[in-house]
Amino acid sequence: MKILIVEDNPELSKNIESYLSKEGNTCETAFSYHQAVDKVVSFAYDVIILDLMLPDGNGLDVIKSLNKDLSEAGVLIISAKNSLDDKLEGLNLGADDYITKPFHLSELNARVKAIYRRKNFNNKKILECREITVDMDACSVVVAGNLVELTKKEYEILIYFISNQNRVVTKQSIAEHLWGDQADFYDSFDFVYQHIKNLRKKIISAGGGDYITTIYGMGYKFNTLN
Amino acid sequence: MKKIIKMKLLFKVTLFYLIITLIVFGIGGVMTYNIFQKQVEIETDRYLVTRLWEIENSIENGESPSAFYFRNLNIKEIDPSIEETKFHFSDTLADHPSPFIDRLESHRKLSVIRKIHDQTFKIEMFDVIVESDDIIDGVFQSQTRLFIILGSVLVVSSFLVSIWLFRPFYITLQTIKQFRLNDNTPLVLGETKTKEFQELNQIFEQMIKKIRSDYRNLKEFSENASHEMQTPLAVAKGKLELMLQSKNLDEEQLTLINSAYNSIDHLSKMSRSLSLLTKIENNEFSNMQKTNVSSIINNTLFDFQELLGLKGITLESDLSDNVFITSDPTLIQILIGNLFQNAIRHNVVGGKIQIGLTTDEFYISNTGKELKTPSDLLFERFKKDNQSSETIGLGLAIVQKICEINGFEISYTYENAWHTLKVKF
Repeated sequence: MKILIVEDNPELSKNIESYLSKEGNTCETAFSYHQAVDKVVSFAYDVIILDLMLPDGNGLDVIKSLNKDLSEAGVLIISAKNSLDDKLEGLNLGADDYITKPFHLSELNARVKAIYRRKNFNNKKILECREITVDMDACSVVVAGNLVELTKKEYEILIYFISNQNRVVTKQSIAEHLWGDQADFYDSFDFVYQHIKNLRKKIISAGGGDYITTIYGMGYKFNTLN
Repeated sequence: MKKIIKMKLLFKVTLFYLIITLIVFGIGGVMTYNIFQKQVEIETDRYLVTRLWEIENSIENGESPSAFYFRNLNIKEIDPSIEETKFHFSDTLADHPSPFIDRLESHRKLSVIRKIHDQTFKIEMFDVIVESDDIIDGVFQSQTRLFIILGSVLVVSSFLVSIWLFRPFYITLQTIKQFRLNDNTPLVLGETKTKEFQELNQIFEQMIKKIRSDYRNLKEFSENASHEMQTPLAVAKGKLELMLQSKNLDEEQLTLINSAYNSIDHLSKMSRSLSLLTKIENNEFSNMQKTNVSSIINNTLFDFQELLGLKGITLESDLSDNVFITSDPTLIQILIGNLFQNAIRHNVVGGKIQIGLTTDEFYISNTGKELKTPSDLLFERFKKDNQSSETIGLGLAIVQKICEINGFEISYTYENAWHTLKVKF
């Protein structure tokens, strides 16, 4: 997957780059509106991560100058503003998703992948990971040939884990992924724990491996390497 | 409490002038009366003296004094050794000059002793003078009529004049009344040729310009502060997340990362909530429309169903359908959402929540431990019952702000281990 990161803050840009490039993605960076426009008119990208507040222009204008012939790039908007107007305008202009700062890198990763999937699996949206197969259209999960009944939240967690496999995913990011703004419950981590416990049990009993490990105090890891 | 009597300026001024006029007319009346009386006396005395001369002349010319016995004249011959006297005037009571009226009237009396030829006469003459009662009556009547005419002219004219004169003032007043800090329409105060009003308008215009720019600066500052904060927070959060991916972290390192990560999360949520609170305060949610509270509550219930289930909370609801209020729907969503969060968060495992909605009010009750802090601090910012908890402490402050903006009344009660928050629309 070829990704363009348009973000004026070099450290934030570096964070995103190093998180996303670990999976063999090609990441390019642009630090200003002009750099970004230069790149999008000449190269094709799968996903563009776009900060709206750039020193020399509005990120929304980058979307307008996307070369439609060159690529059908998905656009993920990053904004410090939690403003509905920006969100709607961005989505109207053709952005695919919207995320507000400060975000979890794992959440960003999951969204980038979701955009990529939406753009590229034209017919069958199937997500595979070892013996686990997820049919994204039917929202059904098959583990080692057995259909597993998952709740909506367990399903969402599974997709999130597969998107971020072999990485430590914090329980905060899972809670926010599941409940959005309502995640600021101090007991939402207990809920996350319960969901994950159930998901793990269901995968194992369907004949799948025990992939989910708990990282002390921090969160979880979906381990598919060993 | 001291009661302040409110009076229109115009009414005050008119009343004041009327009182002054009344005093002036009173003094004027007394003066008129005195002048009148003096003039009457002088005229009467002159008349009496003229008549005396006529009588003296007649007697000198040989007429008999007895010819002059009128009702208002006494001539008596007296001892010739008595000397002549000067005119002596005095007031006295005597019979009315008309023979048909039989009553005493106040008279002016001239008494004098005169020698004519060899005889000495004591002459007393009377003439009716205008009674002071009559003068007072006359003066009073004329003054009253004048006063009434002047007073009504004063009232009517001051009313008309002030309508014309105070027009720019009332226009200014009306404009200031409609002034809203956060709409940016320029203030139009109307033209005036009156210096005071010009000055007033000028001061208002300058003041409002200053207030607006201060307000804008403050708003920009708080908005910028919360926006600018998000990027460094995102950087720090990302670094920690990357650090987490490194291999062979021990428990101690994980604990350190975890607590830094949590603090960053907390800070960013806090700044978001604060910026929401500022936005509500700044009336940025002003998309007023007929809002269906019932459906918002049902949607919220749906969203929270799972959290309720996970905490084993049972919900009893008594909701009227299609309750509409006029407000910004986003605010009502936040209001209901925050109240639900609050009721779930401070509940006990296996507890209960009761909600009810009528056209007048919404209440939400939950089981839970009694508050340790006084309940009037409940809606204060950052006042948490449990300071160590990970909540931000702005939820109910936001609820209260939304109620304030919409003119709702919110109250908290604790009874039989039930916490109840009630919003009156």
